[in-house]
Amino acid sequence: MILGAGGAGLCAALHAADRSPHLSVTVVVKGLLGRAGCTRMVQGGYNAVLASPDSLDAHLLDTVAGGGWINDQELVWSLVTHAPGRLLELEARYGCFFDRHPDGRIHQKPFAGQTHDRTVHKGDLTGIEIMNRLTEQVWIRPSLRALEEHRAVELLSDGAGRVGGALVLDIRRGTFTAVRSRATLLAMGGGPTMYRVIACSADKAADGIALALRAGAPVKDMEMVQFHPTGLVVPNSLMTGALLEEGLRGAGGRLLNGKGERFMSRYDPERMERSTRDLVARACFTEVQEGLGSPHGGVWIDVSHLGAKLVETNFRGMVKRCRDFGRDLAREPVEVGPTAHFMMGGVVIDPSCRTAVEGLFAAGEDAGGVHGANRLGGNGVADSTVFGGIAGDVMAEWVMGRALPRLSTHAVEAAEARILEPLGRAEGGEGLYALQQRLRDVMWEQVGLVRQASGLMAALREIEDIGQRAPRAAVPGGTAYNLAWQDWLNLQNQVAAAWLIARSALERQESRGSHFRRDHANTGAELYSIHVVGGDSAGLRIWKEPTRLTRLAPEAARQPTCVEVGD
Amino acid sequence: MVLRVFRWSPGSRERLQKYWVKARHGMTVLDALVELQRNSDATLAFRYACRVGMCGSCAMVVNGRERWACRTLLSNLARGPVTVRPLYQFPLIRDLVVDMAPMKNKMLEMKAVFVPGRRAMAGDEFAQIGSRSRERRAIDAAIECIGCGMCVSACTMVGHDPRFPGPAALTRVFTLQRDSRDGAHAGRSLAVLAEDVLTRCHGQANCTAVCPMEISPTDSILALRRRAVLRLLGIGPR
Amino acid sequence: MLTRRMGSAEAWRDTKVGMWAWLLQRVAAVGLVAVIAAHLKNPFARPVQAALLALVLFHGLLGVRAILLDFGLPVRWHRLLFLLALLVGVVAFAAFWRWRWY
Ligand SMILES: Cc1cc2nc3c(=O)[nH]c(=O)nc-3n(C[C@H](O)[C@H](O)[C@H](O)COP(=O)(O)OP(=O)(O)OC[C@H]3O[C@@H](n4cnc5c(N)ncnc54)[C@H](O)[C@@H]3O)c2cc1C
Ligand code: SF4
Repeated sequence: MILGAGGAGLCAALHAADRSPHLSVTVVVKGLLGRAGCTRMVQGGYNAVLASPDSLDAHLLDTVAGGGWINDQELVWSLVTHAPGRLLELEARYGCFFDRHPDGRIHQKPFAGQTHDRTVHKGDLTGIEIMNRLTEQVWIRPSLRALEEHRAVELLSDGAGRVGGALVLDIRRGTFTAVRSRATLLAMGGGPTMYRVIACSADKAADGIALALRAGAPVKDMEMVQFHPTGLVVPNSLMTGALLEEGLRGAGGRLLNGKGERFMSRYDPERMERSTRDLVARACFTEVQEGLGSPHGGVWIDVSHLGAKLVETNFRGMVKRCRDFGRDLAREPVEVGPTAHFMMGGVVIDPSCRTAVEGLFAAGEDAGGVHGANRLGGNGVADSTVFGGIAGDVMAEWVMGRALPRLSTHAVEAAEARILEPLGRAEGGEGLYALQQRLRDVMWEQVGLVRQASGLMAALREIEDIGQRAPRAAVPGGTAYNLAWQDWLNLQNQVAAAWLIARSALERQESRGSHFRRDHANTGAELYSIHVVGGDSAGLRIWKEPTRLTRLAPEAARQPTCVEVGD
Repeated sequence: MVLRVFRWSPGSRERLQKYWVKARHGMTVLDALVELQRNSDATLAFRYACRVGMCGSCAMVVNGRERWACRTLLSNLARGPVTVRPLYQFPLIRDLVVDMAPMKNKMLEMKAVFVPGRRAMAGDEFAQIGSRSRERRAIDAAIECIGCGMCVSACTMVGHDPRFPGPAALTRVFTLQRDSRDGAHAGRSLAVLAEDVLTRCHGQANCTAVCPMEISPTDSILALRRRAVLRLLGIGPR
Repeated sequence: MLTRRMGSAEAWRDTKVGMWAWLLQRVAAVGLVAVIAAHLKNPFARPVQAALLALVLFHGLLGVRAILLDFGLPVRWHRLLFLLALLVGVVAFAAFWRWRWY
């Protein structure tokens, strides 16, 4: 069974089906097949080494250096060695049609933080191309069954510490099914939706992380949340946080604060707007916090001096996005601000996607370790498709000769009862959406781009308080297609992940990659990851796990404090 | 601002329910629905995911026209009450949510799925197709379909003849027939020659008018038709 | 499943040019049947002559538009073609009516 249907989930399904066509594989997806999740939203592209002078070693080094050296280097090696093959597979087997040079070779564009032109794309809609083609392929494979608008609500144990399936809720009808499976993949794409401003798909709620935590699988690097500096600011609209391409700054776009100053001169006078993504995002955040923001709590990005024509031809999608909201990107400044984009942290896996819990696998954004403290642009889809495929192959082998586990009906009933509880309960206490807003605010203010011990501790108390109240919030309406009920379920999981982020951020007393502590602004010499394991009644256990430098060690000369990254 | 929203759930009657929303600057149709659902009527059901115009989940009929709710500003709509209905031609699930399965089924009937050709299958290399080649240019825009179903809803012929595969499926067929890497051209050519397929398009271009990705399914269908005619005359590409 | 109810005003709100072009051509065709019948009965009735000429022009010119599109003229020109068909129709009507003023 595959939980989630982004790049990771669909590649896993296809690989499992092609490896053993007799297996029956169920794909559970919260939205429509191929249409929900973030792989769909990929604009920039897909990193793969295709031709010299680029090399696998260079890709490895760029990824690890970008990740602040705390990546799991075996996972990175898997990523860089499989990416070219997976890309070819996407083209030749599944029918993706990436952009070419005039002479017919695949076009690779430069992406920040990389030493070579490595990023393969289809215009600025790479994700749509990949997801459309994968979805078609899933449709025509008879052994694959997709449960659309079904959400995994809990992993089910077989009583012997193994995961034996999941409890699945049919969103349309509001009915439960306990699905038994010999191998279960978490591919629900993490998702930092517990922040006030987000770039990622709004349907995600870190479900995979929360499920894994409750099932007793360790997670790591949860403090590492990537923020993109230029999300659109559209007051009163969910559109807020939608990305404006990083290329705008690359092309010479200027960032201005509310007073019209090019404030980057105070943060990085040399590189100005072309400074690293972390630094720019943090600078924007700081300007706003200090009251120097634009009217709607952002800053201005101005590309009008580049010439309207150039902007309109080179950034068509972005111009259209702005035009829909009455803003003319080519001719006037547009309000932007930092936006929560991607979770580097996730479930601890080995290079064959196994977690510490038997029967449970993880891939894509749900898994941690590939990107370390920061993700390079273009490594995200590569990660999800590469590891999704690996997981599919491994799981298809792994289930051979194993019996279908038995599940305790007692556990299923208990979970169902817990989930049904808020329905029709009398209103009272704090409302669901008020709690959600509180969570988003505290995460943004205290656990966002700039963190410090006092704020993190206050945030933990706030999150715990929300966590106590959230299950008690009332949900009006019935079980069928009830958005409030879905949001209630989301909130529980977002709270769990938020707590992990804040707690891990408190534990890491240094600044590294996307994690910045005002009270510990320097990067320490020690390389480690923060692991958390939960599950049983013993509570959570948190520890530092030293990074194993199995392939590369940081040479002092090359260790960058920050690396610029793309979408 | 007054919103008239289509409501229906299994076992109940279809109706338009009136709501009042405070229209604020920058608000889209989706924002208005979310606000209603959060603050006034928790039972209102609609579908969205990415909320930025990439997933195609929030397509609906606003003031008589298919639109993507997440990218439709209230202020860009005509004055007066805004009427919101689910897409036409798709089975209702609840309120504004419809079942998109018919579109998938049409695609499968038309074999609108890539089948690796012999070269592609054996190849350990990417096919060489120039970025400015006719093939590439013909396909390029038409594969950017987000599967929203707006064209299907807008097409009067889909409404008239349930067997007509509709604009989205035929657009995908077109891109595959032009794709030299694909190995199933022959079967698909036969499929589109069936009654109720190519002949059914009347070129009203309703699909093209509503497509949020600025794709022109009409062009794709007419191009398929030209290919089919040439082939029947024995002078065209296979 | 909902279908567009053509009887309702809502269904016609925001109807686009391509639809009007198609509809006009069909309406002209139906009109022609009636007018031709009237014309056969009495070929010299002026109003019938005028109607016949107008309908033939519109139906034919819109047909030419459809044929051009069928033969591969990019669909993005279809609005222009519609306007052109109307325009040419009006001009041709006026010119013909003047020339054959008997
Ligand atoms: C705007 C944007 C732009 C990006 N651009 C790039 C780029 O240019 N290059 C790049 O490499 N990366 C990019 N990324 C990152 C990239 O999208 C992710 O790294 C990657 O797609 C994650 O894939 P995934 O399969 O793990 O998750 P997703 O694609 O997010 O899929 C998650 C799936 O799980 C489902 N799901 C969630 N919860 C449940 C549940 N409880 N039950 C059932 N199903 C569930 C969802 O519906 C969805 O189908 C971008 C991300 C965003 C948001
Ligand atoms: S062709 Fe356009 S309107 Fe039709 S489904 Fe695709 S994106 Fe939507």
